Amino acid sequence: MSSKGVRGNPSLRRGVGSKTTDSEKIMEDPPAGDWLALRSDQLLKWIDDAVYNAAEATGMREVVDRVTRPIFNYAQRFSPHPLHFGIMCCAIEMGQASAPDHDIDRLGLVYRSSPRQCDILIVNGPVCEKLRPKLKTLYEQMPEPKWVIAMGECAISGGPYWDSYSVVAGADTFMPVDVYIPGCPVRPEALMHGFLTLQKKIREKEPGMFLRR
Amino acid sequence: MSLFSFCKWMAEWTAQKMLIPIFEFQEGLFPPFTNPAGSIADWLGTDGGITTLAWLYAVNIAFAVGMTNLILVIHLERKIAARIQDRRGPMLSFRSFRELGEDLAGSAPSWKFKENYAGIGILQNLADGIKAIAKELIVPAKADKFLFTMGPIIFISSSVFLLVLFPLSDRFAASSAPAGLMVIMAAFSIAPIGVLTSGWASNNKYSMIGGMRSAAQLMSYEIPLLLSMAGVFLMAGSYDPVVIVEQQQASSWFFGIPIWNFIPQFIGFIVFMICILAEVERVPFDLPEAEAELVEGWTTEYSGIRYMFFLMAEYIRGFAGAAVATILFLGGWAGPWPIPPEIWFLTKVYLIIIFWIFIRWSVPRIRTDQILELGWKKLLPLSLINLLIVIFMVEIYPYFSEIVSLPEVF
Repeated sequence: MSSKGVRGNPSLRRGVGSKTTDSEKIMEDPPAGDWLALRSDQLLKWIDDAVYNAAEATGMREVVDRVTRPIFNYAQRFSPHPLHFGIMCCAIEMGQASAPDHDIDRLGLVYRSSPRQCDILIVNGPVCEKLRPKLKTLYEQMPEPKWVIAMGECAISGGPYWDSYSVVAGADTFMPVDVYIPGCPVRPEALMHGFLTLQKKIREKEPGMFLRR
Repeated sequence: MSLFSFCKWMAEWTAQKMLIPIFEFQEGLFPPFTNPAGSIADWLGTDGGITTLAWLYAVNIAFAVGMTNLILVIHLERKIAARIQDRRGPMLSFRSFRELGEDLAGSAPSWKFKENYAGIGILQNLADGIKAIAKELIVPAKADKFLFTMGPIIFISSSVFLLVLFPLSDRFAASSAPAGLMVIMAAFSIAPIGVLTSGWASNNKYSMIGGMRSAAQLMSYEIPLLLSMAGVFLMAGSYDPVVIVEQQQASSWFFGIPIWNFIPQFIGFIVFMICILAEVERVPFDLPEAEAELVEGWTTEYSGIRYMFFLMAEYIRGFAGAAVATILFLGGWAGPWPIPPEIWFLTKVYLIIIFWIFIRWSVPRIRTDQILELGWKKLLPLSLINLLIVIFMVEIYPYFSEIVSLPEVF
């Protein structure tokens, strides 16, 4: 089994490698104090800094966070919108989970076709070397906060194709995965349990934050 | 007591008890900084100030009523869709607030998933909305940033504008424009500009095709829509929704049963219902956001609260479209006595919306060439035939006005 990536590589985790855009590069050192000379975006940045520093200094940030964090966390964990994206046979089970027998719409799931409007990427099948950059792009197109579910043996470790020359040995070799759902294929009940596990994880580990930079 | 007189009473009360003392205190505190054009406290004492304040109250009440209905419509859509497919739909219950209380209090979390999902699911809209606020707003690197930001603003503002334009009854009205329905249709026509703008500014081929389809759909449907409405305007002699509803109620058929517009103008009613369905872009005509062909249509590149604005605005437009159909053809708020007229109006509106939801989950989408053919070759002649019938009834057949007893004024 070839190790194409390190599981739990810290540089792959969320929020570490933040990209800097052109406007941020321009705004690196605004003229200090002389706020009349600022451009409009620099002025907004200056106001943002001033409000943030004032909130931090007076302890208002902790108070606001303490009140708003549970509310945003509540909304985030009870409104999961996964990407409507299927790779192989686990996608059939994903469809079956939405069907009347196992109605996953009870959990509030809405499958969206555009990655811009999604929270959760479900990797449901073996990721080939050809698909890997596309999947990575899809993951990067999703807005924060976002989570990844590896559904089935193939997405966890390569499954029956673990020794193949063309199949990546698990989705966690190139993107952070939050929930692993074993099974070949995964049953719809297991997928539902995976969503509830993710909900538990969001509530425990990732409090939705406000006024964070 | 109408909505406006209630608001005027409320405005007088708040001005006398709260606002005028506050402004007098503030103006006494900072005498050099008072408004040179005149004191705000003095202006609030005049009739103009009270009326302005009353209009503000009325518009806010109409907005709150519309937003409440928006939540109910989205909930109805998801629940009825689930029932049609033999499912149960969203089931997030009010007992899930227990977890929120635990998190706020900082106590130990409890895990009761069954209790969380054992309700009617109306909180699902709340969760979706708050989540959308907390999501990241992405502007694509090669997008036109100004237009990309302006698109949702044009769309949502023109849609929210619709909420205060139609009256719920002759006493519950936040606006009293004599050209009321023309203003509503003008506000309806602003939104495709927002669609086209956001579709073009996204720099995405799917968004672009969606925006172009929206423009094509607008051109093929606005004309039969307005022509089918012209019959109603000719019958009532006015654009005012109150006058239109009074005319429908005044024209009796036999034994005093009112003959509403959908009976004499049946062709116009059918044309109008098809066209308003295309106007609010619901399913048989949702070409701009065809999910099977274009990814999400013109909303493809929008994330977070901007996408939620589009979703909200679509349902607001659906609600307003159903309200216009009710006013024009189904007798508005007229109905037997013991039930208040506002409830009658909302009942008819919700019946139309439920009918649309049934259509949405029953029929497939039609193609672009079919939509243009339907608009130009079938609905346009039908609406012209309807207009000719109405002209024949109202103008050429003079004694028809005695049968239906049109009001003397017109």
